[in-house]
Amino acid sequence: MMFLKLYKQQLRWRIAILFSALILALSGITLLLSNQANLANARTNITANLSITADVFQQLIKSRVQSLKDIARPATSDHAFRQVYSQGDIPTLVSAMRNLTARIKNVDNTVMMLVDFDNRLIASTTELNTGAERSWQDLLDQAELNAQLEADGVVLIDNQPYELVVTPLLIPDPEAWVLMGFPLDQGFTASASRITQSNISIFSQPVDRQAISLHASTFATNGSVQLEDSLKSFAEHIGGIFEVAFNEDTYLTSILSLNNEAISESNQAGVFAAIQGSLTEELAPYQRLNLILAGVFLVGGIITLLATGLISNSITKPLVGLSQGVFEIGAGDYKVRVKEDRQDEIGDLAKSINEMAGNLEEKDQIRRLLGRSVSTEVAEELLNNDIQVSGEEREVTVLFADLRNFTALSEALSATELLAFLNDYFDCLSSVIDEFNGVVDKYIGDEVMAIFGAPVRRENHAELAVLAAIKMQQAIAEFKAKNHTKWPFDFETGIGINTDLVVVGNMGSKFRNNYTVIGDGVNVASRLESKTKNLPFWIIASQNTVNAAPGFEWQSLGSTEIRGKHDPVEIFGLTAD
Amino acid sequence: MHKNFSKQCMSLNAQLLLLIGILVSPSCFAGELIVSVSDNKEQPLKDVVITLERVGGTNAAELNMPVSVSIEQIDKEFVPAVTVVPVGSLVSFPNRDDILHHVYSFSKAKTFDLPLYKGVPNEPVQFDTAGIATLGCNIHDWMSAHVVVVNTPYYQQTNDLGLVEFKDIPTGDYELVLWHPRQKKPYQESLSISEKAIKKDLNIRLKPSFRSKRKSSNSNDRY
Repeated sequence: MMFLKLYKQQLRWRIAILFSALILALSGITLLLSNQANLANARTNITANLSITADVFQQLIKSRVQSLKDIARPATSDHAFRQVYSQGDIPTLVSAMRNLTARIKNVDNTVMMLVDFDNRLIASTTELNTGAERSWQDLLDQAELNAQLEADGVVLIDNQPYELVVTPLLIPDPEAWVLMGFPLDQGFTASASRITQSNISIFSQPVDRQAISLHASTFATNGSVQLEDSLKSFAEHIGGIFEVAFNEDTYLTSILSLNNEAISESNQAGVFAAIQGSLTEELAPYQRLNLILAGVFLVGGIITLLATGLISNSITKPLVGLSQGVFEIGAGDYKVRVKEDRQDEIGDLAKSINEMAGNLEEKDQIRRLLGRSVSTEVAEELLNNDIQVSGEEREVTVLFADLRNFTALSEALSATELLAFLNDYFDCLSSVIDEFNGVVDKYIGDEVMAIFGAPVRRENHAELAVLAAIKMQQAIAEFKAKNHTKWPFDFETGIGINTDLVVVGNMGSKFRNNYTVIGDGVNVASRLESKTKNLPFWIIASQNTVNAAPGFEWQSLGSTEIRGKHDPVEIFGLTAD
Repeated sequence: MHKNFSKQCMSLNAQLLLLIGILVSPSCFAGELIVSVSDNKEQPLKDVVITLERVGGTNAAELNMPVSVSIEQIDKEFVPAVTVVPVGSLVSFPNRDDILHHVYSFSKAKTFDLPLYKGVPNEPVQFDTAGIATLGCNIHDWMSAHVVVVNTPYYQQTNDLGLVEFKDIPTGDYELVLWHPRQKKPYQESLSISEKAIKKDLNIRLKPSFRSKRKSSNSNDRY
């Protein structure tokens, strides 16, 4: 659960786990493929080894047969031996035969038999059951057809397979058959196995070709029944390689027929050698390698986990910093700066965030500065619309509102009281100017100057100015009624409105400037406001304003001289809205 | 070698015929027997020893006098390979080679041993029991010879045509015995000899020829 939580919440863990999983998956696939390749390779190796082992095994038998022949030939021509044979002294003969077999150093348990040409046993170095001679009759028949009267082959004597060599006893004509041989027993399979490094078993199948019986094997004897079972179907595989499951292992098995004739054409028991290679043993080095590989992959996975953790940490840690910074910026702290100590994409991002924070801070400052002279809405609009504040000629409506009786008031009130009253009074006017999207340009003593149609363009700036003027008069009436106790005196406000082409923009020194309008139109508005002193109208507008805001009732007050203007100007008083 | 062998045979036959002439023929009726021997392949077989043994035994008067013959060792071979002698004959074994030989026989007919020697051994060997003596040389496995010791005056060896001709045999019952070094089974047949000439065609089965390998002294071959 904690792991899942970490995975879901932390990018670095997600990256690390993803990479580690990827590495582990690749390692797994590599192991799987390597396993398959190893298995195929092991089979190929065992097959090759079995083929070599079969050759070596047959060579081993051949060399032992050759040893027997090499000793049998001179032995049977030995003068003393001939003499003993001729004298018919059987105990001496057996003793001489034992002496001969003892001379064969590289063949264990050699046996020697002497039979006459009718295959009657004359002497033997080993105890034989009655009728044992029949087992080698075929070999004698083969020897008789051979130019050197010799033969060799595997026979079952008293249910024990022997490799037998037949040679004639020469005195100097052939007088009898000498048989020398060695049993294909545990000792033989053990020594064959030492040479070939394979598992070797000797088994036979009686003439009925049904069951098989195991005679010797390099496998532990307690597996013999299992081994016999596993080899039952051997007949179909002679000359090929087949797999048998036995002893909790799989053995690739090659069967050698040890009989001289093809077993199908023989009426003798079949004697076979099973040469087997263990798949587990062959795979053992590969298994060790796989284990090492698995270990390497696991360590690789862990290292990847840590390394990707570290790398992703180096990505996500600054991201956390950036995220924290952005969070704080989002919360309104535009002074926050994130670390820019990297040259990479994260460094670029940090730079961008800092630029963004800088811009936000600047705009915030502007907003706060603007907020003192314009409504929040206008300020937002100014900031949002990327207003041009460099100089521009534009038609705007300029409104001047002036407090009447200010001289009397200033005499009646203390300076502090006067300032408090003026602040209340300007609050009242400013809120109306804001309401109609005007901008307070400046306060000049008891006078306030407002602009409509700049810096934010308004098509109906004249109408907005007139509506503001009307609302100002109402607001002042309400202000007076509301603050009668606080400010127990009467006052009026004269308003002049002029619509004209003026220059708008930031003006001042490079250290101190403000957004304002300049031009004749401003002066005209101020003069019109002055006219309210002598005329029975609190709101006086120019011809331009009347033309631009025709939805009101105006009364022409005739043409009048305006200071600074060459020609007389027609002015209008607002009668009703 | 062949010349020596023929000469020896002829001299032996001449002696035998002379003896038969002196001892038997004037007093009895005589018959004639011709035997032709062929082998498995119907080919005439020479050097087959054929003896006629009188049923009831041969009287001493009829027996041949023992003879003295030689079986030489020439170029590591026995010459001749087959020798027929009456019982009691003396056989000498002169070694004509410049190396030693060791002649022996473990046969029941005659067991003897002439350990390594050169030249002519001091004493000849007397073959005093009827039967076949197989001779060998202990140091040359391939050397083999046979001495057929007979107890009858009627014996011969087939010629190149596989023929023997017995003349002036006293009439009576005989056992015809045939012997060849390679015969598979012993052959014996009862036979009545009358004044009428008898012709017999005999076919015998031979064992495959066997000889111990002889190492060649003048070639690079292994043997």
